[in-house]
Amino acid sequence: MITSEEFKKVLIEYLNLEDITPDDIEDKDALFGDDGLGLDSVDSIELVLAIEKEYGVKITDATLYETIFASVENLLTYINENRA
Amino acid sequence: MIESDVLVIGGGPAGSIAAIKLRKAGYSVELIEKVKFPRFVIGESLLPRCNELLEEVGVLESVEKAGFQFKGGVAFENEKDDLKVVHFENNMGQKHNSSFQVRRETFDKLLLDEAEALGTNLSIESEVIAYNPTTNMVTVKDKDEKIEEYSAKKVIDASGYGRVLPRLLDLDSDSKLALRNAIFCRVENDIRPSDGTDGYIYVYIVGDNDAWIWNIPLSPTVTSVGIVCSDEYYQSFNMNQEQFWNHIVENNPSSKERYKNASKINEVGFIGGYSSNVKTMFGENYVLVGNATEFLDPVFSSGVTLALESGSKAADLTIRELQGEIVNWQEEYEDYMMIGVNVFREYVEAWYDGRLQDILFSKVPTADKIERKVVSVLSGYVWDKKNMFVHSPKEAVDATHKILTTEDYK
Repeated sequence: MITSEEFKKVLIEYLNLEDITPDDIEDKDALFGDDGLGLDSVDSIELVLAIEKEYGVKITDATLYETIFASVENLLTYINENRA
Repeated sequence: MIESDVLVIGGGPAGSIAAIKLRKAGYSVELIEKVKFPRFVIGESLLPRCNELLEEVGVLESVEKAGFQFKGGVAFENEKDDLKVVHFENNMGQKHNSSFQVRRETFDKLLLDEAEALGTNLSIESEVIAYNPTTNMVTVKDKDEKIEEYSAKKVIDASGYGRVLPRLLDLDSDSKLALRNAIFCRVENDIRPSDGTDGYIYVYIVGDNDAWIWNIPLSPTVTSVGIVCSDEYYQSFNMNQEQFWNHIVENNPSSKERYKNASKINEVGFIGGYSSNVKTMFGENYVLVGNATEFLDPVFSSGVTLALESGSKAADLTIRELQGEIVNWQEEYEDYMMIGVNVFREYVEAWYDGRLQDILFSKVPTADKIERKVVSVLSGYVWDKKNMFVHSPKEAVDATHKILTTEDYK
C-alpha cells in the first residue's frame, strides 16, 4: 500500500515540481488545469511513464483517464488497486 | 612471460581511463597499443558527462589546461530554416554543463600519458594476435615481430575499431542500426556563428534528412567537417569521397555559407559501415569496453562518453573483483551500459525516422517542459533514472512526439 505522502514525493520528483513539498498537495487536488497541480499534456506523459516504472502499473485504457486523473487521491487509489 | 593484474588492449580513452583507475587503486597494468601515438581518429566532440568522468579520475584539470575548444552545446539546423540550439546549461541540474571539442590525436595522447605517468606499462606498436579465454593468456607481437606471452587476472579489451576480442572470440553480431558512411575533412577559416555559439557543434541536416554534416570547431580557425549518410545515398552520386564531400558541402545552404572562404587542410577521409554490435560484453576473465562493444551512429557525439563510462565502470568492477568480491558482470556492467546505449540508440533511430527533428524543432509552447530532459540526454546524462527518456526511452520518445505533433494538444 503506497501512502499518500510517499506518492506525493514521487510526483514531485518525477515531475520536477519546484518549490513544492508533499504538504502543499491536497489529496483532493486536481492534477490538470489551473486550480490543481496545473499539469499539462507533456506532464501527463511523464506521469504515465513514471507510474509504470515506479509501480509497474500501466494506464492504457484512455476511457478511464478522466476518472483516474481527476485527483491525486483517485490516481493513488487506482495504482494501489492495480499493483501486482 | 609478463604477468600483471590487468592487461588492457588499446590506448584510446576507454583503455586509458581504465588503466588510470586501476593504477590509482594500486594494481599492475600492462597496456598494449597497436599504433604509435599521436594518431588521428574521428569522434572529436565530447559531452558534459565526459567532464564528470575525467574529474572523477583526477585528469579534468589537465584536460582543461590543454587548451581544447570549449563546447557549450549543440545546434541542429535543417534546410527549411528550422534551428534548434541546445545549451548544456539547461540540463536537469547536473553539475557539468559544458565540454570540449578535441583533436583526438592530442586528447587520447594526453590520457595515455596520464596512465603511463601513474605507472602503466605500455607496449606501443604491439599487436594482440591470440587470446586464450580459459588460461587468460594473451599473445602479443611487437614491432620487431617478437612474440611475447602475457598473463593477467583480467583482460580489458578497449581496442575500438580494431575489435580484437570480438574477432578472436567470434563475438560480433549484427548492429540493429543501418550501416552508414562517414566522409570527413578538416578545414580552416570558416565563418563561425557570432551569437556566442561558435564553440558549439552544429549539425546541418541535408535535403529531406538524406544525410547530415557535423561541424566541429577544433580551434579558433580549424573546423572538422564530416558527412554521414547511408551507403546507398553515397553510391547514388557516383563520386569519389572528395568529390562527394565537396558536392554536399557546396549544396547545403548552411555549409555553403559557412565554408565559402574556407580551405581544406588535409585529405578527405572515409569510414564505411558505421555501427556494430557484440553478442556479449564480458566473459569470465575479460570485459569489452568502448567501441569494442557496440558503436552507435555519431550524430549525438556519444562515442567518447560511452568509452569513458564503460572504461571507468569496468575498472571499478575489476578492482572489486581483485579485492575478492564476486561481481555480477551481467547486471552491474552489461545491463548498466545498455541503459545508456538504449537511450542513445532510441534517439538515433528517432533521428533517422525524423521524429526527433519534429521534437527538436517543435514550436508548441509545452515543448519547453521537456527541454531539460532532452538537454540532459544530449549532455550524456543517460543513466539519470529520473529522466523519462532514460527509464522508458522508447515510450517517452513516442509519447513526446505524439503530443508535440498532434493538433489537439497544441
